[in-house]
Amino acid sequence: MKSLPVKWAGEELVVLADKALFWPREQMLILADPHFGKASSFRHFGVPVPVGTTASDIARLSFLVDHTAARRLVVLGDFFHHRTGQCETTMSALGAWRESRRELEITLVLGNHDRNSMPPPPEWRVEVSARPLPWGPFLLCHEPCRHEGHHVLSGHIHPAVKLRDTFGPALRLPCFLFSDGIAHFPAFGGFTGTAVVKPRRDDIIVALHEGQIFELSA
Amino acid sequence: MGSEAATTLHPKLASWFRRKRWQPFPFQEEAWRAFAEGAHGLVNAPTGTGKTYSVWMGPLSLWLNENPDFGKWPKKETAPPFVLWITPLRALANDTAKSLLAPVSALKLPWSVELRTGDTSAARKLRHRQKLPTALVTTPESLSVLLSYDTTRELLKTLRCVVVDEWHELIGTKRGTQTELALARLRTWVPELRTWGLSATLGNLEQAMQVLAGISGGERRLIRGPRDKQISIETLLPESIERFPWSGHIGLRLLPAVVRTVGQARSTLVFTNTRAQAELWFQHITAANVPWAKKVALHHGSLDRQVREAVEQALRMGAVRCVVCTSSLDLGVDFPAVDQVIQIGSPKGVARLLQRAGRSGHQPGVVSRIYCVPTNAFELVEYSAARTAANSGHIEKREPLDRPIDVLVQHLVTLAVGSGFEEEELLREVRQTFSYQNLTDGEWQWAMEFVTRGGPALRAYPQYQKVVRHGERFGAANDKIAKLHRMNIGTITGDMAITLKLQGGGVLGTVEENFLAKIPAHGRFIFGGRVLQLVRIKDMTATVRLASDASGILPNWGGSRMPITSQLGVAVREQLDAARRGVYDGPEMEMVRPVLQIQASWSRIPAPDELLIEFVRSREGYHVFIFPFEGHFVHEGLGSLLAWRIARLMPRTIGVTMNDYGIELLSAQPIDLGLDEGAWKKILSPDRLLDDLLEGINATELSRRQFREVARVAGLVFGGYPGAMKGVRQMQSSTGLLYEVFVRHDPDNLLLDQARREVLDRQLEVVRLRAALERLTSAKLLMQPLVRFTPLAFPLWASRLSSATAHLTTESIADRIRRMVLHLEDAADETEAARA
Repeated sequence: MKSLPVKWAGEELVVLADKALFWPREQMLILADPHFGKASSFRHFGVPVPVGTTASDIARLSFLVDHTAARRLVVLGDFFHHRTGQCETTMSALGAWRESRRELEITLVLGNHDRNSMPPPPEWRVEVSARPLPWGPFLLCHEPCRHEGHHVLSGHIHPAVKLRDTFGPALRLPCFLFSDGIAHFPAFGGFTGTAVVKPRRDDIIVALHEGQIFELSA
Repeated sequence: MGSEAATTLHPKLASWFRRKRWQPFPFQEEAWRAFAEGAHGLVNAPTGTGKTYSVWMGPLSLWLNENPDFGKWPKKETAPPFVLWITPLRALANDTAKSLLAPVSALKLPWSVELRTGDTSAARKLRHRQKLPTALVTTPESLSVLLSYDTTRELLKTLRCVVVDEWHELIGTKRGTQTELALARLRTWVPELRTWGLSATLGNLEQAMQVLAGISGGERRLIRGPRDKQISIETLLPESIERFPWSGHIGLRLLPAVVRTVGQARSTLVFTNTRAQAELWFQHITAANVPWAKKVALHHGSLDRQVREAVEQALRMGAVRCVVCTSSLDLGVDFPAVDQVIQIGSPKGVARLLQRAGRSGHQPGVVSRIYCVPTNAFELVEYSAARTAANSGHIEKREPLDRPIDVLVQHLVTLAVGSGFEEEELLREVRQTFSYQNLTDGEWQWAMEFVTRGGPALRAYPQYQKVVRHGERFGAANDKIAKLHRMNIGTITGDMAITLKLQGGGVLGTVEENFLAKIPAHGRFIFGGRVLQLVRIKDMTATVRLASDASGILPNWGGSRMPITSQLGVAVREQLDAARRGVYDGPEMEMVRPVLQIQASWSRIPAPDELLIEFVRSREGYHVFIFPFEGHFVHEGLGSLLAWRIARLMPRTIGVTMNDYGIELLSAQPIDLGLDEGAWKKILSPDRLLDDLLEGINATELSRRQFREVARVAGLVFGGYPGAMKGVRQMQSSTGLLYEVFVRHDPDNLLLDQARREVLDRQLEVVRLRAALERLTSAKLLMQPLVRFTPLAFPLWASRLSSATAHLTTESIADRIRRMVLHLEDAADETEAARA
């Protein structure tokens, strides 16, 4: 998999093309906003979203964990989309995945969608943190915030960058946005939308497109 | 005639007519007779000729004949439902109901006439679930909502007649298809139901009637109203052609002539093609130094309904001198006070020009007058062409849609939510409609599977629920599904409308989200004739305050790029052909003569069986101008197709610009086909048209955009509505996202296929495109190597400079991104420099 080393807050980090970040010193894999069960929730309300998004997200997750040999997975919120999506199919698929990666430690910093969902079952052994979690030089949280003395890693906004030129339609690519002490993570889930962000000078943008990484820092 | 009328019209109604001192028109009597004989029918008559009563008297007579005994008329209650009157515009419903009520009240019939539209109060809607009025005036959407209640079938069992007003507005649209399906349902419930329609003139009236009445049995009659209504089409000619803008400008040079013309009459409608132009002309006309400048009003679709209604009311009372409007006043009730109409810019189509002209001079024997105001030299040719076509009766057709699967899917859920359906019976019923007569078993099964199980990709997925089977019948899975579906019935989709609110004041109207997205914080724009400054946008409401200075602001929103119709394209080619032979007929052609003579002497004017191709080299590169005269959309497809085919022969980037007349291809390198006619014929071949279009043009991007509408109609996304149901908010998703999920996980979904089909049919107008290519391959090619731009080429060149152009390229996406990254950095540098 394509990866891009980024030095930030004095730490060596690696951006992975599959919308996650690896922190080698802690052997920590970090991602945000998987929104598991979103498709099921839509089906519950009569919108026939095709099957396959959860399976492909889980496959990507497995690949990332194995590829990085991460010891810990941190999810920066919105692990689940909504309680109506926490159906048998979704839960058993995730449960089976958890079983297959028993050694992996998992930490979830709760997001706004998690509050409208049931917590992960105890047998999944997920450490849940209801508030932002300091970890070394970083503060791990869901909604972006500013914090004295910490660099913030956050999700929630699903950032994307819009690229345009005079040649045809604009492209919209999910991205990492490192801006003013906050690292905004792209949404990990395959069935999630994006919000276009307007980068400022000195921001670092790492755009992701089909397994490729483009660094757009000024 | 009078005695015959007596046999078809009930004596009470005949005497009401006499009391009104109305002499029935022959077409009215013909319609009454046809109705009395049990036929279905379509009445084609201009507004202001009594077409409403040509249909309304039929059912009234029928009821009177069936209820001759006055003593037995219901006293406390009104008679049960008898007529359903469908109108495309809810703004029309009020006036329609008023006209329908006139004879009812005069004869003290025990009839109730009520409205049911999107604006109807919840209390009345609730009452309509228990009891419906004798005559219900409603819209296609509200009718569908009615079908979604299980009590409706029982309530409507006494129905005898359904009337569709302004049918020409509905046919050829998804709303029309939705209406067809609803009518088919009503006919199943009440087999003896008579279907009638009212329509303006179309090129395919006969077919329009078949679509309306369905393909099953039953006699049907096409009834034509008086055709001797005189229409005068004149052009306000500029003083000289030299001072004329070549292209795209808004042609305010003719403002004095427009003001003078308005000054001549009591009341004038000024039609523009876009809201932006309406705002602009309104600004300038009100600024004119004339005593009536205060009596000018503005009317367009974005203005608040109350504002629009006030303008309409003033127009009705003859209290305004002039209303500047867009297509928002194309439809609708009569404004007898309107003396004349002014059309700014291209008429775009023959029927459209005639319809607009017909908004004036309603009194019998009075001429309908339209004055055309050209915004560029070639519109003079269009006016001349439109008049000629109108005089010889060459009017555009409106073709019904061919089985759109999204409308069917919505209808299936509507019926399931209502009284439910039995599969075999419903399939037979759906195939009775014109649109779905060729629906295949496979398509039907797909639609059924989609609503019951979410489609093949969701097979055996228990969470999905929408339509479920109870024994032989299909019904809604639960109440929540039903409620959600009802809120989203309809096929009208558009940009999200944002409400404009004055700070500390009232609502001004709505604007498209896309437009507001382009306005910077505290940016200014013109709306409703006022200069506004954006304060903030929150929760679908934009707060604005009045600004004083309007300098440097152009209202540039809500612009549509409606192409000229092929009918008008043909007429334009004929006018040019006459000019080629030296015949300049009429004042417009006389005026444009010097321009066309330059065209003829520098290059050529093509005959109808010729295709003109001009080659010019400039500092910008190598230009090729091609002139098929097929309208903007066809040229868009054609231009991209040609550029793609050329770029495949010789890798490069080619810019494509088009207007209603032609295409410009621009490349940095010479386009090496040169003057080889054989090579050009190959490039113009209709062979592999679809493959090349799908492969070459960014059809994926177009389909993704089109999917927005399809997904909305098929119930995949929910329209924004205030106070969304609790627990539904997390259902927001963009159709772009859904599109990607479907492409990846359910590529055979018929809705994707439909989005592609709609792109080909509607945006690229593939049928027209293929016909054009077939015409062009047999045309004689006129290859003209030139040293400068001709009058025909110049507007294309000029419009490229003022607008973004499509480019066709063979670069990879990664290369593109890298290149755009550079652009992004440049832009950032510029922003930075600007801040410093």
